[in-house]
Amino acid sequence: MLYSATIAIFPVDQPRHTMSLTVTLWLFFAGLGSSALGGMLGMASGLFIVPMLVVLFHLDLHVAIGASIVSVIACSCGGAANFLRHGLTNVRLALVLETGTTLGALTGVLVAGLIPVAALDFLFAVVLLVSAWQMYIRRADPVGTASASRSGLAAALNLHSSYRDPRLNRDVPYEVRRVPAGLSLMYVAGLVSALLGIGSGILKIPAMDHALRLPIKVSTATSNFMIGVTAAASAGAYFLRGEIVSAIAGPVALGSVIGAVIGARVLMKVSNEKLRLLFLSVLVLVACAMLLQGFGIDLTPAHHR
Amino acid sequence: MNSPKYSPPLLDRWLATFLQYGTWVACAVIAAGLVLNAATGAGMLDAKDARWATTVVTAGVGLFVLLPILRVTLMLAIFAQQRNRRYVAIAATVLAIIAVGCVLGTRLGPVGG
Repeated sequence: MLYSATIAIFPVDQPRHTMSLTVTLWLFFAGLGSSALGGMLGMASGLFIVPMLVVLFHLDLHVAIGASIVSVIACSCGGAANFLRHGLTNVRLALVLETGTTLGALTGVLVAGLIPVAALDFLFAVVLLVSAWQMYIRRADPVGTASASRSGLAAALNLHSSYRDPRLNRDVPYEVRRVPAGLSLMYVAGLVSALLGIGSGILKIPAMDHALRLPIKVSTATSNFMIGVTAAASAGAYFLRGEIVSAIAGPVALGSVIGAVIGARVLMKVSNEKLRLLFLSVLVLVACAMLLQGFGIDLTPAHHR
Repeated sequence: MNSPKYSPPLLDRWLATFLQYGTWVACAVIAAGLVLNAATGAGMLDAKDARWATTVVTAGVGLFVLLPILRVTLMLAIFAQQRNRRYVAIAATVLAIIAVGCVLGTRLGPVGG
């Protein structure tokens, strides 16, 4: 059943170990496009890769999730170096929070087979709508300069740190709050990441902003750094049990790494209000497509035949 | 007046270098597999080499999956060198959770049937 939907990718008269060049190229560009779009939004590529593979390529949802989770890792690893070199990533905090995200991913791996595909389609649509909402309300650096507890978990684990602000050209100190609350939210983010094959960056924002009260630049960098390990926790199991079809995941991941670079460059140049509204509409549209998919309504029946 | 150039901590620099080169190697392996496949498809290589092409792409994908796990292992080693026992324990916990996920996940079998 898992491979039934890959018939379109591997024609019946073609041996299973060969990959059609045309389809490989299409998958490469699907990864590139999704990742460039995600990069322009400052998000991971997974949000667009899964809907694209399911709606346009008619792949089994689990095959799409397997391919997406690999490209999520690729984008996280590819983007991490830049954040680390600019001193924006809190690596100690990332490691502490990864205990929560990997536990969530472990739960996701164990329950993935029990959840019906339609329910996953609906959950995906909900995550897309939450993402649209996050885009709509926009994020702001947490206010309040009251000193954090000196005896809490954050202090014990030496999590308070500083980041380099390139505009001010100096280190800006910050304190980490409510680590247990952050860890609980990270567990949920890890669970959703494993179930849907996404980075769950969007679900980490409430944990980073409201529980831990991190500056936006630090939370973006730290979240990106954590996404790789979160995704690897589920991808390892999916890969070992042969659920990641490399003929699909390979070109998508390669396209994603290149797309993320293009997306990040565009983000630097054209970050304006109209673009934000355009992407907000795209997120709502993709959410609608996944909702229809959940109801079993095929949007591109002509291609299916 | 020019301020001195910012230099991140050693751990951050090591992780940045590791992840950057790791990404390039994994991308290069996947690209090599795809080129090998294209060459087979175009008749430049023997048809039986197509199996190799898929194996190379799978190796690249496996490398990507392994990269973050190796990153945590690298962090564990650096914290161990710094004799930071608390963080060695945290890194070991993350690795243990991933290992348990792989073992339990594999035993459960494919979700697609």
